[in-house]
Amino acid sequence: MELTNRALVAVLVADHVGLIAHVDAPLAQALGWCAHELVGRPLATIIPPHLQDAHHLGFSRFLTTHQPMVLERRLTLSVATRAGTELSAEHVITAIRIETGWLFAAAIRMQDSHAG
Amino acid sequence: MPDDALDPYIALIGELHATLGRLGLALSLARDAFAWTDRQGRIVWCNPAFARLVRADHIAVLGTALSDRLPLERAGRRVVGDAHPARRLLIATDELDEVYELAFDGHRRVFAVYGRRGEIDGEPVAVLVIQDVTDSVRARAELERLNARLDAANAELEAFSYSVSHDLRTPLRAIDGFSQALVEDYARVLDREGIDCLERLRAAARSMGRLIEDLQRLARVTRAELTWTDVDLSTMCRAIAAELAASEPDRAVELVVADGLTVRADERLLYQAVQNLIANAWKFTGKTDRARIEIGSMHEHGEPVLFVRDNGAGFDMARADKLFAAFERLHSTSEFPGTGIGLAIARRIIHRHGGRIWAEGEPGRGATFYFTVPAEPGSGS
Repeated sequence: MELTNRALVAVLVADHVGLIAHVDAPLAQALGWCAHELVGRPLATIIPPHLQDAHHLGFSRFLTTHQPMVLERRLTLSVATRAGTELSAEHVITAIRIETGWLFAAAIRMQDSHAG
Repeated sequence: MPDDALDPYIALIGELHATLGRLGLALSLARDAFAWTDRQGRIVWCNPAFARLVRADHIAVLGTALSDRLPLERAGRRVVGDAHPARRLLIATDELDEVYELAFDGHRRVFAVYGRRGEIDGEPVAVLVIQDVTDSVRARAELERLNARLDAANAELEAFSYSVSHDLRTPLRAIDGFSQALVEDYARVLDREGIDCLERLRAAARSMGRLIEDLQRLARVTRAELTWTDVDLSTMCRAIAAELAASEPDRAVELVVADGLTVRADERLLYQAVQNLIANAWKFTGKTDRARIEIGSMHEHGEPVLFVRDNGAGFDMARADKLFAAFERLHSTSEFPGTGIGLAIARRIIHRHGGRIWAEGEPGRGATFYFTVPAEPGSGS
């Protein structure tokens, strides 16, 4: 299944440490991975290098303050493939409070054109 | 590996998140705009102040060229390409601290741009801090404009007072001269009361002459050009004290001058200022047993401060603001003679050097006069 179809939305879930807890198989494949290979890896695995500082600071800041800066709104961000290329994707990220901390779920729709 | 073997690492990551979170929070609260780039000059992080400055969502800013996001101008021209601070930090400069203008939505403001080049894994990154200094630049310009007006008004006033005091001397000499002629030539026809009146008239004319001389001295101090040299203040103070001691050999005053007091100043003018301060201490310890005058230095907020301290008559701090005004006196002439010009001259000389002068005292317990002489303007120190 190709994720370049704009109608398809895949889900990725990360835990409070910032490790990928779940990823839909089509999304993993679009990024050059099998889903089970991505689970347990840091989110930064699929974040391009130039966005990683902002990701780490923003993620940590949310865990510290619980004040979102990027949650619950539509964002267009680049994602990194296993080969190091960048793809453009629409994201809507939400945070869910659970007993052991936080879970972060992103609904991701790949865009047709490649970023960067 | 058992599950709990990872616990220490999870805990460590949690701690690092907490530290990073606090760092992110602190940077996000800063009023100044921060941004740093990767080696290509693309913004990899910015704080909310930066996003507000460039009128963009901070997510949208990430990955874009800092030199494009920050359209700096200097002298009305856009700073482009490799001349932009963000580019220069990556290719030519380790550090910069410069002032630019930025115009957004028709509002032009002035910014101090401070930048450092960093190195991560052997690759250069640029870190910029952008501070809006528009208000302070405008305030400084306004201050300079007001100072220029004040200087012009002062110069005019000085010229006027010099001219008036000069013109007053001629009729004053006539009053004194003719009074003297009356005393000498018409003593026969005047009774004792008449001669007494003439003597008082002459004394008043001489007193007025001294006041006019003082006014002219004050005016000269203001008009004199400063010649900056290294001045050995310790030697200067000892010489002044020796002169005062020679003028009143009967007085026993303990004088303590710290060694190694040096300043950069106009020696001739500084001599007048210090002479007035020491003479002041000398005069107001005239009725003090075991009179003592100490001259030394101390540091206040990192700045060297010189002082002249005495254990003489002192003064009431409630009237301290009058101490340095010309012809203001806190003690009666009969108690301690003088016109009240000495401290006014000292203050004007210290101010001419860009310094400050102030005093502390207590009636009957002495006074301390403090002054600073900053480094010569433009000396770079």
